[in-house]
Amino acid sequence: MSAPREPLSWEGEDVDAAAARRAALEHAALLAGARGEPLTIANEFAEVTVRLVDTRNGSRLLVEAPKSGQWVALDPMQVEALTWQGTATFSAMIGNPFGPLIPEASAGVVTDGSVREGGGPETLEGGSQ
Amino acid sequence: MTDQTGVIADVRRGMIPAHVYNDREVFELEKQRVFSRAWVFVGHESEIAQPGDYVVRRVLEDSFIVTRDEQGEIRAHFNMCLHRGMQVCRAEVGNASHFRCPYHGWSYRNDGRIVGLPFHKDAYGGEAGFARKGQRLLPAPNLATYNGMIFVSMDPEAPPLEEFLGDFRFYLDYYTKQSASGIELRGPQRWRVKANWKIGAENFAGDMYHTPQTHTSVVEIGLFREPKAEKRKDGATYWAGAGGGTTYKLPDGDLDQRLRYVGYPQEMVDRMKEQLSPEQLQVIGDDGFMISAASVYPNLSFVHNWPRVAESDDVLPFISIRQWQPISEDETEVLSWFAVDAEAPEEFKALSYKAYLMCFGSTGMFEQDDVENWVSLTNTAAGSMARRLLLNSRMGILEDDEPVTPPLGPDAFHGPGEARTGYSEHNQRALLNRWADDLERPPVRAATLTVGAQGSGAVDDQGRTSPQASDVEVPGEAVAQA
Repeated sequence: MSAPREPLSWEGEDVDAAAARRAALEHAALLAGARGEPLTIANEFAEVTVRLVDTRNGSRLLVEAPKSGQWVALDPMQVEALTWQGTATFSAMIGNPFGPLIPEASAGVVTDGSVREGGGPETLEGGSQ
Repeated sequence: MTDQTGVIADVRRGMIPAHVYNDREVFELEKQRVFSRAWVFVGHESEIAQPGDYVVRRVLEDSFIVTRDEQGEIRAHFNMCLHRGMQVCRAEVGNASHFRCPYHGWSYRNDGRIVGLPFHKDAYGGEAGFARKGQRLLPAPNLATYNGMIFVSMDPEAPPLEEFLGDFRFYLDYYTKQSASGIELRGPQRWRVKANWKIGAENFAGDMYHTPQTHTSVVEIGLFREPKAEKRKDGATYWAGAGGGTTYKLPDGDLDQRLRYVGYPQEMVDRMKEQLSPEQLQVIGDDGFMISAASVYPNLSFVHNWPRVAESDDVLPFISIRQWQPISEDETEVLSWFAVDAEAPEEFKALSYKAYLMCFGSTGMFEQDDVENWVSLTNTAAGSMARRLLLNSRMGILEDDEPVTPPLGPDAFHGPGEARTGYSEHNQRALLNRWADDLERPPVRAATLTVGAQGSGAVDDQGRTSPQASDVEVPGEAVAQA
């Protein structure tokens, strides 16, 4: 009589599961501080819910995509940074689905020339500049 | 395919082979030779007022995303993903900075340029395998606007829109430019009728003759006071450039009185006097004619009527723009918009919309009356007997082709083209003569576009190239993340 076999699993599955649990806890903690009614914006391509969430010492904007379950909590400076982006920034993000545009490991410091470093002469689209 | 030379010759002398209103071979020819080159209406700028606004419209089977991009430019993209050909936009109306194909997630900016293919590097080897730069949703071969009316042509070599419309622009202004702000549209309502597309176009182009018969009940119930048999023939029909239409004769009075007679408040009259040319105003004020129905070849029509909208005797005008979108030889999709001067008072807009709904659109009484005839005509045109019958469309001309009524002189009618009072089928013949012109010309040869190829687009055998994204001048190229 042989010993019961271990169920199959992918390498790193336990790590992913742990990360998902952490994210869920983090999400629940943010939602606990939700203030006011959520706003939903949708068209035929996407649907997102936006709500203000208070933390102990400040607040963030919780942006969620119900279909994918993905969410991001943006602080005021991150939201402000959106205001000086042009359509091309969003094109690059949209054109690179299922993950971040810039690898987390880079910590936002991109030196391969694919992202222009600040203050160049390029004319910005839209905005008030 | 059967030789249509005989059909064309009969049409040119005002005798219409009845089967052209329900004939698959004729319809195939129309697809190849009429709708492959004519300027076809796809929408109005006011329907896509803000950046990102779009509507999805068709020219025959070809679906187009008609959109205002982030730079404010109006574009018409062929609504087919460059990858597997899925429809990129399926909602008829929306606002989006980017479109994303539901099938594999290819995404496009609203100016048409492709920005992303999921797993671009893994699946295609990045830019080396599929160069995103230079690729875009296929633009309509030709796009132009007049008074905010957006038209596309499938022929890159089509004459300019203004040249195509010609002198009909004079009359188009009455419907679309009553003030400096132009019109705004509501709708369209969209429904299908089992009728050939040409019948509606002909009817609106010049059929004053059907009004006293077909629309009797509209007058009897007091909705509309004008189509009385003895009065209708006093109106003038005109044909100019790509279109023609009908008018009603107005009672004696000056310009202001006559515009108020059809229900325009004085402030709108004042704006029309600023906006329209002296000749356009003379047609109303001096000649005493008020525009009513009209058609622009091939399949766009207008109507301007002034029914009673309440219990009082007061009338109020409305404008409808309608398109006879062919589905097959025996089916038409009707698109019916309400149009109103953008500067009109809100109360006027509300009442004018009510007037429109009572007369036209899916609930309108005129519409119901008309369509019953057109469906029955189309149905009867399908059989073998219809192939033996030449319909008489010679009203207004004698055996020797001399007109029954001479054209109005320049002092009696200040508009361009040829106008005359009385019942006739001059306009219907003018419309079908243009149709015959197109049917006689060989079909347009189209260029093809190769998806994913580096650099240039395709070149056809006449040396014409497909439009490429590199021709599209938009600041801020997408950041390539291969």
